[in-house]
Amino acid sequence: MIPFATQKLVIGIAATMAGIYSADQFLAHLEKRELDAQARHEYETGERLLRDGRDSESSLTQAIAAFRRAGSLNRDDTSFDLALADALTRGHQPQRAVDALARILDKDSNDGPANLLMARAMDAQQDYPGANSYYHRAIYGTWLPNQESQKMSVRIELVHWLAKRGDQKGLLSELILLEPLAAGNPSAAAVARDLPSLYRQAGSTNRAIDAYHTWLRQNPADADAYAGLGETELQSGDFRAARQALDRASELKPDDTTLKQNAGVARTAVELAPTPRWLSSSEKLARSSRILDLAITTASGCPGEQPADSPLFENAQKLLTEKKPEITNEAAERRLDLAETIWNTKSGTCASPPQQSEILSALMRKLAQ
Amino acid sequence: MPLASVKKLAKRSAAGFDREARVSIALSFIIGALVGLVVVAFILLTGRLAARMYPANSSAWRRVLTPVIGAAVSGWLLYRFFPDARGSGIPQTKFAIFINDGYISLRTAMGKFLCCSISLASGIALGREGPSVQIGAAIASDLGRRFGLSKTNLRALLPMGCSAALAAAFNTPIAAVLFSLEEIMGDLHAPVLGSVVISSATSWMVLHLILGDQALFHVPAYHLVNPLEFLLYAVLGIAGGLVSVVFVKLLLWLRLLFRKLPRSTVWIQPAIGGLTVGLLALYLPEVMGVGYDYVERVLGGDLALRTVLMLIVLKIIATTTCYSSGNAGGIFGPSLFIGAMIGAALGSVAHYLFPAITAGPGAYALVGMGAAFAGIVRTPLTSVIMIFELTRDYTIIVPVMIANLISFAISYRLQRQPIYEALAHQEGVSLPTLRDIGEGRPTVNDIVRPIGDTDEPAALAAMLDAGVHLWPVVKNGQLVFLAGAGGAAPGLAELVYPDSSLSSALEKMGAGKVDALPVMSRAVSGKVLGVVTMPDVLAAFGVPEVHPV
Repeated sequence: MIPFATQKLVIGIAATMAGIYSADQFLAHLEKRELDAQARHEYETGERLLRDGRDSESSLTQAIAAFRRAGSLNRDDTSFDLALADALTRGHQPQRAVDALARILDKDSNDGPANLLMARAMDAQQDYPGANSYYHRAIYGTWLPNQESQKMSVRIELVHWLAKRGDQKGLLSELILLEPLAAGNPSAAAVARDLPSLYRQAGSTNRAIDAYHTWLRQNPADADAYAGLGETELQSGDFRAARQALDRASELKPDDTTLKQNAGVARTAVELAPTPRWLSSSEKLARSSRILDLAITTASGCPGEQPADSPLFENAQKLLTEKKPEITNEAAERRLDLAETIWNTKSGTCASPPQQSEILSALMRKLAQ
Repeated sequence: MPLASVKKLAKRSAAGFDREARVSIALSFIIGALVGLVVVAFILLTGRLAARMYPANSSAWRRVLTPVIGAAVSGWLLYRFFPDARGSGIPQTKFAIFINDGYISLRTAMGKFLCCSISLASGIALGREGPSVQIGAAIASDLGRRFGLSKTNLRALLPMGCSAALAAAFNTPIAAVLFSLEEIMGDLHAPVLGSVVISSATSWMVLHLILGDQALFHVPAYHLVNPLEFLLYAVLGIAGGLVSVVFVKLLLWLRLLFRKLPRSTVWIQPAIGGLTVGLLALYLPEVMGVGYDYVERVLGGDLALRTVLMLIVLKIIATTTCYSSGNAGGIFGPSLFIGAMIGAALGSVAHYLFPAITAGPGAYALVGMGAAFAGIVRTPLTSVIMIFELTRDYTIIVPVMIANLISFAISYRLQRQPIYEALAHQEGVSLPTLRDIGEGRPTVNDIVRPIGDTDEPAALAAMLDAGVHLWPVVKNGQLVFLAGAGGAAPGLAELVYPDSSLSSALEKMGAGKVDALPVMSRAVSGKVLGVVTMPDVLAAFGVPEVHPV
């Protein structure tokens, strides 16, 4: 009979396996502890290089190598890979950053920090739709409990990114979401201050004005906010409100000449505004004539664009030099139409006196409304 | 014998067979688990020891002395206590399966474990996977013997040990199965497939239980940027094939040189390999050890082109010298290392010249690994699957297939004999090729006519008696010439081995236009075991003897 397994043999094998298993566990524990310590050391070296090197090329290169070593020593801790991806993006190697992050996102597509870094890497690659998408994934992704405030930071970063990109539609929709979240959030104090100007960049002057008022209720001595409010009011065509705000800003910052100039623009705009209902026909005609005159003066600062003897200018001059002009609203309208036409023919690059240009610009916007 | 006794004996024999089959299946689980545990210990031990013996940024004297001392110590141990634990372990495992009835001693496994731990931890530029395969096979062999399995079933256990070892060493369970069948057994349809899969899977589970789920290499997600890249991958296949041939030829040449040295120097020869590595490490420390850290770095595109080019040359020199000088260690790891460097070098140049249509150098390094492995180890299917499992990146699989195939074809064309077969030949052993193996079919061993020393008259008499036209003249067990064949020494085409299939014997008779062939020993070069004749082969196939009318 074949001498098959005896009980003793089976027990011997089991005991051997248990012994080797214990040895394996000990060695694995030892290896993990040593590799973790090494990885942490490499990570800290990389962080220090980034901190001290201020993004200089050599420190970035060394930091990237250190983070890479840390990641290969401890593959379980994604913070090393995230640091690597961040350094790669800063080191102008966004494709490598994307590759590194793709590996993390393959495991957990909702990883908030990885999505945020992916958005930055894609932005560096000029893949703007991709970056936009990853910013949103970062906002709605998962963060560690102590990183929840990061979601607000990501929203703010996204808003600034959209503003920089000039994506007015995207910016406005993000601001509408951000505003209620930022209210009363201490970590979003800076957002409340920036919110009005961001609304302005998003093209929503009314929301910008409301945001300025909200901010100024809490910060009544903020000259910059008054200045911003004034400029926004000027943009919206409420010249009186603009004048008030800019005057207040000038009071708070009496040495600021730009504020004074802007206040002057607002004041002149109030004086020239041809649209108030209470204006008599003669006053309206007088204001429209001054506007037309201003348009001619501004346009004549652009030699070569419109010859002074062109039919348009001749017509304008003729209207202005009429001995007995017809004092009717229609006559005022004709002058304003002509002023608008001359303004529209002026190219944006034309070097005209800035103040006159700003006044006319504000008036024309109002007329266009 | 009474009929009842015959029936009883047959029943007992059948029961014994069933019991052996059941034990074999149970052993496939036990072998998987035990080999997995041992190989994990081997990996962890060599890794931790290496980190202590030659840490990164260690001083120059340490980089030189550590491999020299390590190789000298392991060389002495190999010479004095474990002579069978030399080299990679793959040819020795094949020898055990096909020639030695599945016997590998536990002492060899322990020697391999100890000597490889010392040499690999001291920075010898060899791999740990080949030794793991021999350790796995030795454990399987020992278990099989302890459980009293027959020789046939014992032989079938060894591929289980091999696949379990490779699954744990590389974390590649599928490639481990394929390697055991493709390289060790030489037959992808081998009947042990099921047990090999079980042991590989069990070992892999043990690995995961202890070390978790991590691929050996972490690589960025690569993709084919442009279809024109296929041309570049084909060029990489050519480069991989050529470098593989250089590697194999250099290794075989150096091995012959070392074998020519006096036998009294065998114990110190490994130290020459250690000294070579140490001196090269003075210039480039990356050349020391298995070098998987640097493979990972190059896969991430993190090594300079100059370093990569230097590493190709230095690693080839270091590995071939270490192996041929008789150190214990394998060539799997170094071939992956060299391939990664070739790929990274070519990828860097290609990416520099054609940045818009090429992926980063890391992608080429990945493909290069497969190409060099296919060229050196000559297992194209295993190498494709292995690269996939090592990196878990499916997207690069088609370029890997193309490069592997080209590299394999070039390597086959320029170096006919695969490396393990050639190494075994140098040792005087003829390992079977796929064509030779007659697993499950009638073999020469079934019909061989054993012969001893035979002079010429005796040979002619035996020839007439057997009704054939050729008979070997044998002196001291060695073949002198073939009587009746013009006295010429036979070529490889006119030799068969006991495990050769009868159909292959028949083919060889046809090719040599002879009706008898000497049956040679695989274990001892030139030793004649017997004769196989055409009438015996035909009779074995059931063809009736035809007498001329």
